[in-house]
Amino acid sequence: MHMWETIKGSFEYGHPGFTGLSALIKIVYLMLAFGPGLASILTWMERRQSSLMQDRLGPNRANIGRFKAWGITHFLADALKFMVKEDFVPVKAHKFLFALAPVLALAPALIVAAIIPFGAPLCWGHLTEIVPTGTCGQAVDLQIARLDVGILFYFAISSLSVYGATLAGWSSYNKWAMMGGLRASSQMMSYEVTMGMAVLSMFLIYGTLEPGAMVAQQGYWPWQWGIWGIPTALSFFLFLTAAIAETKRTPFDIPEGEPEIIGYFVEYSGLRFGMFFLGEFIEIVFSSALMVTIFLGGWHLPFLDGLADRVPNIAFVLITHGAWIVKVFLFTGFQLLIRWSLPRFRSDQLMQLGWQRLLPVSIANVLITAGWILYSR
Amino acid sequence: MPTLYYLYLSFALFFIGTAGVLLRRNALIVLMAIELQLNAGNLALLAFSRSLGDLKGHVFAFFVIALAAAEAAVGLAILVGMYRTRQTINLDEVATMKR
Amino acid sequence: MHQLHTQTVGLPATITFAILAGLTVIGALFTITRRNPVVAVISLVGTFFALAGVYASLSAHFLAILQILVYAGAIMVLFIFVVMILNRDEITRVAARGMVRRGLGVVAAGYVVWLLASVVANSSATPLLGGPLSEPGADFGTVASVGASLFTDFMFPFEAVSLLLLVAVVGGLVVSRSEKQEDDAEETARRRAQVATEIRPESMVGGPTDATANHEAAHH
Repeated sequence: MHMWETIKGSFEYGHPGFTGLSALIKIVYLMLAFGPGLASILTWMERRQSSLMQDRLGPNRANIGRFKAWGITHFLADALKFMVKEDFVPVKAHKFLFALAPVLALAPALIVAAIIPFGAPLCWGHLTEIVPTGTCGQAVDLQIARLDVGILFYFAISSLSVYGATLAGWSSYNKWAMMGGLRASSQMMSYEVTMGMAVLSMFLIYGTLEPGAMVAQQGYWPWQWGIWGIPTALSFFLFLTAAIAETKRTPFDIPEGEPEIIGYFVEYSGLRFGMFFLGEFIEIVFSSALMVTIFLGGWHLPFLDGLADRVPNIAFVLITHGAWIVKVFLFTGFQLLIRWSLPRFRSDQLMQLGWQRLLPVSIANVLITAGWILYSR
Repeated sequence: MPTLYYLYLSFALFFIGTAGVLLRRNALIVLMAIELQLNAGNLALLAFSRSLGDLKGHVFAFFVIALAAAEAAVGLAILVGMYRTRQTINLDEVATMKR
Repeated sequence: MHQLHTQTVGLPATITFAILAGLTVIGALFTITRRNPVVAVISLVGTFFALAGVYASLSAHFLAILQILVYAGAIMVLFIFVVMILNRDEITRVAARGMVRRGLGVVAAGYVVWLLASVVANSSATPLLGGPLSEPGADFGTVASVGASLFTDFMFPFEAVSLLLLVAVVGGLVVSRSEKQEDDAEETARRRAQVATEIRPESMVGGPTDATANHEAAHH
């Protein structure tokens, strides 16, 4: 039967079913298991570790039977709470757009994971053999899509999350929500420009937009990573600042503003609010993953140098994947730390910082990098 | 897919855009219909670029996108100015220069 | 013309094109027929997404991503901002006044499009437009190749477009100034012109304040 042969053939390299099946497995793993999983752990860290840092206890009561584990099951409790809460839609709200806004906040955060490389290439058919780097004929990249336009895909999809905030504010039929939505979207638009300009100098240095090629150009040791060098370190800080502003985290979280000013999701309850909430944390995870890819060497770690020649391929792939997970986790922890330490910017300070301070610096950075490349090559 | 079908799609989009410009009175919808017309032109450019194997069509489409951005910005600024003075965005009511 | 379908192109490509083209046309129709401008903007964003898919099927990868990045991600956000600031539903979708004239205009536009379609579908154009397409080169439509073409053959139009964008930014700022901002700007310009042309050394005997008092008095 044609169907059975397609399924059997999907396990051979080169068969179109193989590409589809491997992509599907990668999508399910990265976008449905790893992303939301790490985001949920971060929600727990956000509340528990921040409270320990601020010398208070924080939520530590959630338990499954007698298993308390420092309140780590709070994220399950939160999820359950969001699902069973009453779904309240304001009477005059625009029903379609009210329902669409959380989707437009959550979906772009997940879709950008498609270009992120999360491990060394897997050599299909030679999994238990030792495969030195670059000698594999049947390489399966641990990257969902190897697009030529690479990082532009990230910018294109993350510019759609602006619609989530704007529509949420507008469709709630609430003046305060709408003003919050306009604040949020103007903030996101401003910092998108700086994000693009900051990464532009990295494109000049790498000569490519494709994240897999960027990781391949970086080496195992920290001085071979993307962050080494004056213009690149400046790009890193500019991009980090802009990404934190883009995800509306403190110190740029005026749009959320709880509890001083009303944000754009004031009329959302239950799972709809849960989608905004989870979407923000997933954005943190994948923007950290992107920064790790461009600036911090992707899945490279110093002690892995030469390891590809000594251990079987599957072990090497798992180790590099573990290294990537550790790096992303540390970086997300760093972003959470920033939230717990810094006070919030006022709206006008925020816009001034974006347009009058960061944007000229990032443009100057591009010029400096271009000049440096011209004279050194 | 043969180029012909892409051209049919381009014509359909252009016709829908023109109908929008002629029939709607809300200035915002008219501006959006103009963007539809520009996109129809882009699609035709890219379809021919593919069938002729020439990249000039892509470069031309790039410039069309940049121009559309500039035109949308200025058009919306004019719209905001118009709303400020006439308190309406209905094109029928701003058809004369008389206040 | 009946040889132009799945025999030259595989079934998956045909189905993909049919879905994307259908979404594009439906999105475009929704855009021009919705009464609520925000819904119209969102359906136009959906149209641009489907159109980006069509561009990708034409091997125009860079343009497809640019379509989403610039059109759907920036221009449409600008539209949504303006819609929210103006925030008015249209009372009547299509005004009755002048309907016949406009209806005839639409019919004329339809006729022109019909003529174009008949020219293109002419049997003498079929070999050029209806036949199978040759495989494009590996770097057709990639960022590198379009960029190379843009920065070598089309350098002058590129710089001209950047100047155009600057003009658009400044023009947008000037056109959308409120009356108070315009009056303030005019006042500042007038004052600067006065000070630049009329201050004289002998009137500065008592210091700068004396001079300004003098020429304020002279002009009132």
